[in-house]
Amino acid sequence: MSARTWRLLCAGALLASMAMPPRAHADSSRGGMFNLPRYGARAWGMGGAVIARIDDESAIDWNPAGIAESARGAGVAAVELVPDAFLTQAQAAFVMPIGHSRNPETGVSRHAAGAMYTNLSADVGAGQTYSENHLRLAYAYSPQPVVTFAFSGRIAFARSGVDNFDSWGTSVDMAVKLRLSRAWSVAVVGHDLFSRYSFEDGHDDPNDHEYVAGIAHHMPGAVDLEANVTYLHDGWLRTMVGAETPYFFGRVALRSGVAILSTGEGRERYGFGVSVRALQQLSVHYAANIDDEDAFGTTHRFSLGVTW
Amino acid sequence: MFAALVVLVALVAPAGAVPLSAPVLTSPGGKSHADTYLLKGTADSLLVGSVVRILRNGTVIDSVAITATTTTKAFSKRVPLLAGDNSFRALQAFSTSTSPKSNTVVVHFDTAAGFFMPVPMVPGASFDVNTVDPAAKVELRIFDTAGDLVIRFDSRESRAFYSWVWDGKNGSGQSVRRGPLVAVAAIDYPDGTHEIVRQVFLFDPKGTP
Repeated sequence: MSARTWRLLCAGALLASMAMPPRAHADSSRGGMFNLPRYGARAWGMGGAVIARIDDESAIDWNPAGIAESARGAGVAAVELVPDAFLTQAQAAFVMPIGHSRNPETGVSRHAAGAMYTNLSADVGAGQTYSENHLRLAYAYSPQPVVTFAFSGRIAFARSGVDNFDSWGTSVDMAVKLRLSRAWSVAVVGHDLFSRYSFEDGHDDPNDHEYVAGIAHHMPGAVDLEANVTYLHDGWLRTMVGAETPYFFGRVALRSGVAILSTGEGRERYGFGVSVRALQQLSVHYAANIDDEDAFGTTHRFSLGVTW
Repeated sequence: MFAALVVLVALVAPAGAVPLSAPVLTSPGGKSHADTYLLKGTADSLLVGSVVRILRNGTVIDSVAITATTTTKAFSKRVPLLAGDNSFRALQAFSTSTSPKSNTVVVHFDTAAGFFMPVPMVPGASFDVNTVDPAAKVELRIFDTAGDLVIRFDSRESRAFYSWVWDGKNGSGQSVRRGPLVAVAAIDYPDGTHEIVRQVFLFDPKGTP
């Protein structure tokens, strides 16, 4: 597929999502616990359009199949999710190939595993606080370098001084990634499948299932492109398109993206990011996400990754 | 002997007098950030033609009529508040008969600017937005922690106190689950200034106001 065809595909996806009529039914979130934005400034710099190409510790959260392409590494990330509202998220991740099963040509490991810890803290008024702690474990298996199957399991706990909000829950993500060629890859991820959480008063709730499909184009030395589409809340679609440059001079990479939320109102969230790499093993990522000012406004994300 | 006593009472009592007991106000009172308050209570009887008069700081400000179609002794009335303390009492009246006054419910109307809601937020409670000066338009959006819209309220009335009662349903009419949510109020003032207030809160669909 030529670069022109790819550009037409991206433009078509963008126009189709913009032209999508607002849905009159079930286009609103039902809220709930343990429903957080995913990891890291690198992915958010691309507007969240990353599942088919993510290949570092971020993959544990976005697409566990991506950890098969990661070197052994670790990372930390932090963001104030809602400016001026004391809602912060901090994460730490570790990923590693298992054994010496890495394909020297493709860089894909036959077995890989990862772990991620997430903390959410909030001031909920009246002097009360609310916090969530999540632990996610991921495993990826690549019987052939062209395909990776993966799953991750999450256990999460919530604590608050407000009655009835202490709870715990579990969920499972499942994913598959296909490397169609050196340039093209596709992936499908199901998030929060088989999820359930229970409160101290015995009440139970599930999380909404979320399905994401993505296609990515990668050419060494050229801008990488990806488009994702998400199905959730009983049917409304979110479309994400992102781009990432290679590291200029081996040091600095730039990225940008947009997420189009087709709610009854509809809105776009833009992402811009930059990464600085030092010593070939240390990367610092920053992303600014520009949301509607009458929603979450502009958020700033930072993450740091190290490989060895 | 008993019959004679009844006749004596009937002769002594004024014409048309009906013995009535005091209503009972059941609202909890407390602090309010809205300029109105939903006052609830129970009347003593369903005597057709009687009225329950609501007094604020000793002055009658509203009433609830008992008619032939009234089927329950419970009543509710949204009443206006004055800045500061508001002492509410009620009495039931019929013709020339008046019951004693009810218990007192004190509501303190706090006019300080800000964004207010109970902790936790429950169905039937209200989001109260008190602007610094009368605003031209206020929009209130509720999001989940991932940034997806749950429901939206708005008002284009020019006033300083905005209040939206939430039934706990999202924009699609589905019940919202227990958990943290984010409220974002966007306030437009007549002079063109725009103010954003964001607040994280906990929502409990099983709670009561």
